[in-house]
Amino acid sequence: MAATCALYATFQSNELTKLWKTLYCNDPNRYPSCARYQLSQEGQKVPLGLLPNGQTLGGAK
Amino acid sequence: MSSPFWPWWAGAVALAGVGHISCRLLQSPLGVSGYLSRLTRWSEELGTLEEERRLNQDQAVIQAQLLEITLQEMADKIPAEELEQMRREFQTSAPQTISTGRLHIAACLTFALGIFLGGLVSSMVHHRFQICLQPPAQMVTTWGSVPMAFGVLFLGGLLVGFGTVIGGGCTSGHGLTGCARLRPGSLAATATFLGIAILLARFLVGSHA
Repeated sequence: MAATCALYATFQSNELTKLWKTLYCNDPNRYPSCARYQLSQEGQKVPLGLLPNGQTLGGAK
Repeated sequence: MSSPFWPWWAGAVALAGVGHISCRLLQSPLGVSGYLSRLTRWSEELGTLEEERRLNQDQAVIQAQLLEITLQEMADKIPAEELEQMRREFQTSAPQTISTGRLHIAACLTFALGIFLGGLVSSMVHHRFQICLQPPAQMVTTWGSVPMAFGVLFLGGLLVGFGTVIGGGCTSGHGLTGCARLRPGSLAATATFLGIAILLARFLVGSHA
Protein backbone atom coordinates (compact mmCIF):
# COMPACT_ATOMS: atom_id res chain seq x y z
CA MET A 1 0.00 0.00 0.00
CA ALA A 2 2.78 2.44 0.94
CA ALA A 3 4.17 2.28 -2.59
CA THR A 4 0.85 3.34 -4.08
CA CYS A 5 -0.31 5.73 -1.35
CA ALA A 6 -0.50 9.30 -2.62
CA LEU A 7 0.44 10.79 0.73
CA TYR A 8 3.46 8.55 1.30
CA ALA A 9 5.59 10.68 -1.04
CA THR A 10 4.18 13.89 0.42
CA PHE A 11 5.16 12.74 3.92
CA GLN A 12 8.82 12.42 2.89
CA SER A 13 9.47 16.12 2.56
CA ASN A 14 10.20 17.08 6.17
CA GLU A 15 10.83 15.59 9.60
CA LEU A 16 7.41 16.47 11.02
CA THR A 17 5.35 14.81 8.33
CA LYS A 18 7.79 11.89 8.23
CA LEU A 19 6.38 11.02 11.66
CA TRP A 20 3.21 9.79 9.92
CA LYS A 21 5.38 7.35 8.00
CA THR A 22 7.20 6.22 11.12
CA LEU A 23 4.05 5.79 13.17
CA TYR A 24 1.72 4.40 10.53
CA CYS A 25 3.17 3.38 7.16
CA ASN A 26 6.36 1.70 8.40
CA ASP A 27 5.02 0.23 11.63
CA PRO A 28 3.78 -3.32 10.97
CA ASN A 29 1.53 -3.17 14.03
CA ARG A 30 -0.04 0.18 13.23
CA TYR A 31 -0.43 0.35 9.46
CA PRO A 32 -3.64 -1.74 9.53
CA SER A 33 -5.20 1.08 11.56
CA CYS A 34 -4.38 3.66 8.85
CA ALA A 35 -7.64 5.12 7.55
CA ARG A 36 -6.23 5.29 4.02
CA TYR A 37 -5.13 1.65 4.13
CA GLN A 38 -8.52 0.54 5.46
CA LEU A 39 -10.44 2.33 2.71
CA SER A 40 -8.15 0.92 0.03
CA GLN A 41 -8.62 -2.58 1.46
CA GLU A 42 -12.39 -2.11 1.17
CA GLY A 43 -11.87 -1.25 -2.48
CA GLN A 44 -13.08 2.30 -1.98
CA LYS A 45 -11.63 5.49 -3.41
CA VAL A 46 -9.18 7.04 -0.95
CA PRO A 47 -9.62 10.83 -0.71
CA LEU A 48 -6.35 12.61 -1.40
CA GLY A 49 -6.57 14.70 1.77
CA LEU A 50 -7.42 11.81 4.13
CA LEU A 51 -4.76 11.42 6.83
CA PRO A 52 -3.90 8.07 8.43
CA ASN A 53 -5.76 8.99 11.65
CA GLY A 54 -9.02 9.57 9.75
CA GLN A 55 -8.94 13.38 9.75
CA THR A 56 -9.18 15.09 6.40
CA LEU A 57 -7.31 18.03 4.93
CA GLY A 58 -9.48 20.53 3.13
CA GLY A 59 -12.52 19.59 5.17
CA ALA A 60 -14.14 17.29 2.60
CA LYS A 61 -14.30 13.59 3.31
CA MET B 1 15.40 -14.46 -46.36
CA SER B 2 15.96 -11.60 -43.95
CA SER B 3 13.62 -11.29 -41.00
CA PRO B 4 11.47 -8.13 -40.73
CA PHE B 5 12.10 -8.16 -36.99
CA TRP B 6 15.08 -6.91 -35.05
CA PRO B 7 17.44 -9.47 -33.54
CA TRP B 8 16.34 -10.48 -30.04
CA TRP B 9 19.21 -8.68 -28.32
CA ALA B 10 18.48 -5.40 -30.13
CA GLY B 11 14.83 -5.69 -29.12
CA ALA B 12 15.87 -6.31 -25.52
CA VAL B 13 18.16 -3.25 -25.51
CA ALA B 14 15.43 -1.11 -27.11
CA LEU B 15 12.84 -2.25 -24.56
CA ALA B 16 15.23 -1.56 -21.69
CA GLY B 17 15.87 1.88 -23.18
CA VAL B 18 12.15 2.63 -23.48
CA GLY B 19 11.59 1.51 -19.86
CA HIS B 20 14.48 3.64 -18.62
CA ILE B 21 13.60 6.73 -20.64
CA SER B 22 9.96 6.42 -19.61
CA CYS B 23 10.93 6.33 -15.92
CA ARG B 24 13.28 9.30 -16.38
CA LEU B 25 11.04 11.52 -18.47
CA LEU B 26 7.67 10.73 -16.99
CA GLN B 27 8.86 10.10 -13.43
CA SER B 28 6.64 7.06 -13.53
CA PRO B 29 7.34 3.37 -14.15
CA LEU B 30 6.20 2.20 -17.57
CA GLY B 31 3.03 0.09 -17.50
CA VAL B 32 0.96 -0.10 -20.68
CA SER B 33 -2.03 -1.93 -19.19
CA GLY B 34 -2.02 0.49 -16.25
CA TYR B 35 -2.18 3.46 -18.64
CA LEU B 36 -4.98 1.84 -20.65
CA SER B 37 -6.85 0.87 -17.50
CA ARG B 38 -6.67 4.46 -16.28
CA LEU B 39 -8.04 5.71 -19.60
CA THR B 40 -11.11 3.51 -19.14
CA ARG B 41 -11.63 5.18 -15.75
CA TRP B 42 -11.28 8.67 -17.18
CA SER B 43 -14.16 10.05 -15.12
CA GLU B 44 -12.57 8.93 -11.86
CA GLU B 45 -9.19 10.23 -13.05
CA LEU B 46 -10.61 13.66 -13.83
CA GLY B 47 -12.27 13.65 -10.40
CA THR B 48 -8.88 12.99 -8.78
CA LEU B 49 -7.29 15.84 -10.74
CA GLU B 50 -10.06 18.16 -9.59
CA GLU B 51 -9.57 16.97 -5.99
CA GLU B 52 -5.84 17.66 -6.30
CA ARG B 53 -6.48 21.13 -7.74
CA ARG B 54 -9.02 22.00 -5.04
CA LEU B 55 -6.79 20.74 -2.23
CA ASN B 56 -3.83 22.79 -3.43
CA GLN B 57 -5.84 25.89 -4.23
CA ASP B 58 -5.02 27.48 -0.91
CA GLN B 59 -1.75 25.92 0.15
CA ALA B 60 -1.38 28.11 3.24
CA VAL B 61 -4.66 26.82 4.70
CA ILE B 62 -3.81 23.19 3.91
CA GLN B 63 -0.32 23.56 5.38
CA ALA B 64 -1.78 25.06 8.56
CA GLN B 65 -4.30 22.20 8.81
CA LEU B 66 -1.60 19.60 8.20
CA LEU B 67 0.58 21.19 10.87
CA GLU B 68 -2.25 21.36 13.43
CA ILE B 69 -3.47 17.80 12.89
CA THR B 70 0.07 16.42 12.88
CA LEU B 71 0.98 18.20 16.13
CA GLN B 72 -2.23 16.93 17.79
CA GLU B 73 -1.60 13.37 16.61
CA MET B 74 2.06 13.31 17.67
CA ALA B 75 1.73 15.23 20.94
CA ASP B 76 1.63 12.13 23.15
CA LYS B 77 4.08 10.13 21.05
CA ILE B 78 7.03 12.47 20.51
CA PRO B 79 8.91 14.51 23.16
CA ALA B 80 7.69 18.13 23.20
CA GLU B 81 11.11 19.66 22.48
CA GLU B 82 11.69 17.43 19.49
CA LEU B 83 8.21 18.19 18.19
CA GLU B 84 8.76 21.93 18.60
CA GLN B 85 11.98 21.74 16.57
CA MET B 86 10.14 19.86 13.83
CA ARG B 87 7.33 22.42 13.92
CA ARG B 88 9.83 25.25 13.32
CA GLU B 89 11.45 23.34 10.46
CA PHE B 90 8.01 22.67 8.94
CA GLN B 91 7.03 26.33 9.09
CA THR B 92 10.23 27.50 7.43
CA SER B 93 10.19 24.86 4.69
CA ALA B 94 8.59 25.36 1.29
CA PRO B 95 4.86 24.49 1.18
CA GLN B 96 4.14 20.95 0.11
CA THR B 97 1.94 20.18 -2.84
CA ILE B 98 -0.40 17.37 -2.00
CA SER B 99 -0.40 15.25 -5.08
CA THR B 100 -1.07 11.70 -6.17
CA GLY B 101 2.31 11.86 -7.92
CA ARG B 102 0.78 9.89 -10.76
CA LEU B 103 1.20 10.48 -14.43
CA HIS B 104 -1.43 12.86 -15.86
CA ILE B 105 -4.21 11.05 -17.74
CA ALA B 106 -3.40 13.15 -20.83
CA ALA B 107 0.08 11.62 -20.79
CA CYS B 108 -1.50 8.13 -20.63
CA LEU B 109 -3.62 9.00 -23.66
CA THR B 110 -0.59 10.36 -25.52
CA PHE B 111 1.34 7.19 -24.73
CA ALA B 112 -1.53 4.98 -25.96
CA LEU B 113 -1.77 6.97 -29.19
CA GLY B 114 2.01 6.67 -29.55
CA ILE B 115 1.78 2.89 -29.34
CA PHE B 116 -0.87 2.82 -32.06
CA LEU B 117 0.98 5.27 -34.32
CA GLY B 118 4.33 3.58 -33.71
CA GLY B 119 2.94 0.23 -34.87
CA LEU B 120 1.24 1.85 -37.85
CA VAL B 121 4.34 3.76 -38.97
CA SER B 122 6.57 0.73 -38.45
CA SER B 123 4.34 -1.52 -40.57
CA MET B 124 4.14 1.12 -43.31
CA VAL B 125 7.89 1.72 -43.35
CA HIS B 126 8.48 -2.01 -43.70
CA HIS B 127 5.71 -2.36 -46.32
CA ARG B 128 3.84 -4.80 -44.12
CA PHE B 129 0.70 -2.73 -43.59
CA GLN B 130 -2.54 -4.45 -44.53
CA ILE B 131 -6.08 -4.40 -43.24
CA CYS B 132 -6.78 -7.92 -42.08
CA LEU B 133 -10.30 -9.04 -41.25
CA GLN B 134 -9.38 -12.66 -40.67
CA PRO B 135 -7.70 -14.23 -37.65
CA PRO B 136 -4.18 -15.60 -38.26
CA ALA B 137 -4.24 -18.78 -40.35
CA GLN B 138 -2.44 -20.72 -37.63
CA MET B 139 -5.20 -19.86 -35.17
CA VAL B 140 -7.87 -21.08 -37.58
CA THR B 141 -5.96 -24.34 -37.98
CA THR B 142 -5.57 -24.68 -34.23
CA TRP B 143 -9.19 -23.94 -33.35
CA GLY B 144 -10.91 -25.47 -36.35
CA SER B 145 -12.89 -22.52 -37.73
CA VAL B 146 -12.83 -18.75 -38.17
CA PRO B 147 -15.70 -18.05 -35.68
CA MET B 148 -14.00 -20.30 -33.13
CA ALA B 149 -10.69 -18.49 -33.63
CA PHE B 150 -12.43 -15.11 -33.19
CA GLY B 151 -14.17 -16.44 -30.08
CA VAL B 152 -10.84 -17.55 -28.61
CA LEU B 153 -9.26 -14.18 -29.45
CA PHE B 154 -12.15 -12.39 -27.74
CA LEU B 155 -11.95 -14.65 -24.69
CA GLY B 156 -8.17 -14.24 -24.60
CA GLY B 157 -8.52 -10.47 -24.73
CA LEU B 158 -11.04 -10.53 -21.89
CA LEU B 159 -8.75 -12.69 -19.76
CA VAL B 160 -5.74 -10.46 -20.45
CA GLY B 161 -7.73 -7.35 -19.53
CA PHE B 162 -9.15 -8.99 -16.41
CA GLY B 163 -5.80 -10.44 -15.39
CA THR B 164 -3.83 -7.24 -15.80
CA VAL B 165 -6.31 -5.31 -13.68
CA ILE B 166 -6.44 -7.80 -10.81
CA GLY B 167 -2.71 -8.54 -11.16
CA GLY B 168 -1.83 -4.84 -11.10
CA GLY B 169 0.17 -4.90 -14.34
CA CYS B 170 1.20 -6.69 -17.51
CA THR B 171 4.38 -7.71 -19.30
CA SER B 172 5.61 -4.11 -19.46
CA GLY B 173 4.67 -3.05 -15.93
CA HIS B 174 5.65 -6.25 -14.11
CA GLY B 175 7.95 -7.94 -16.63
CA LEU B 176 9.92 -4.94 -17.83
CA THR B 177 9.97 -2.25 -15.17
CA GLY B 178 8.84 -4.22 -12.10
CA CYS B 179 11.45 -6.97 -12.54
CA ALA B 180 14.13 -4.37 -13.31
CA ARG B 181 13.35 -2.75 -9.97
CA LEU B 182 13.43 -6.19 -8.28
CA ARG B 183 9.92 -5.77 -6.91
CA PRO B 184 8.91 -9.10 -5.34
CA GLY B 185 5.33 -8.86 -6.61
CA SER B 186 6.53 -8.25 -10.16
CA LEU B 187 9.04 -11.12 -9.98
CA ALA B 188 6.27 -13.46 -8.77
CA ALA B 189 3.76 -12.20 -11.36
CA THR B 190 6.25 -12.50 -14.24
CA ALA B 191 7.37 -15.98 -13.18
CA THR B 192 3.71 -17.03 -13.01
CA PHE B 193 2.41 -15.63 -16.30
CA LEU B 194 5.55 -16.50 -18.22
CA GLY B 195 5.67 -20.01 -16.77
CA ILE B 196 2.01 -20.66 -17.54
CA ALA B 197 2.40 -19.19 -21.04
CA ILE B 198 5.32 -21.53 -21.76
CA LEU B 199 3.41 -24.56 -20.45
CA LEU B 200 0.28 -23.63 -22.38
CA ALA B 201 2.21 -23.01 -25.60
CA ARG B 202 3.87 -26.42 -25.17
CA PHE B 203 0.49 -28.01 -24.60
CA LEU B 204 -1.13 -26.35 -27.64
CA VAL B 205 1.81 -26.99 -29.95
CA GLY B 206 1.94 -30.57 -28.70
CA SER B 207 -1.78 -31.02 -29.37
CA HIS B 208 -1.91 -29.48 -32.82
CA ALA B 209 1.54 -29.99 -34.32
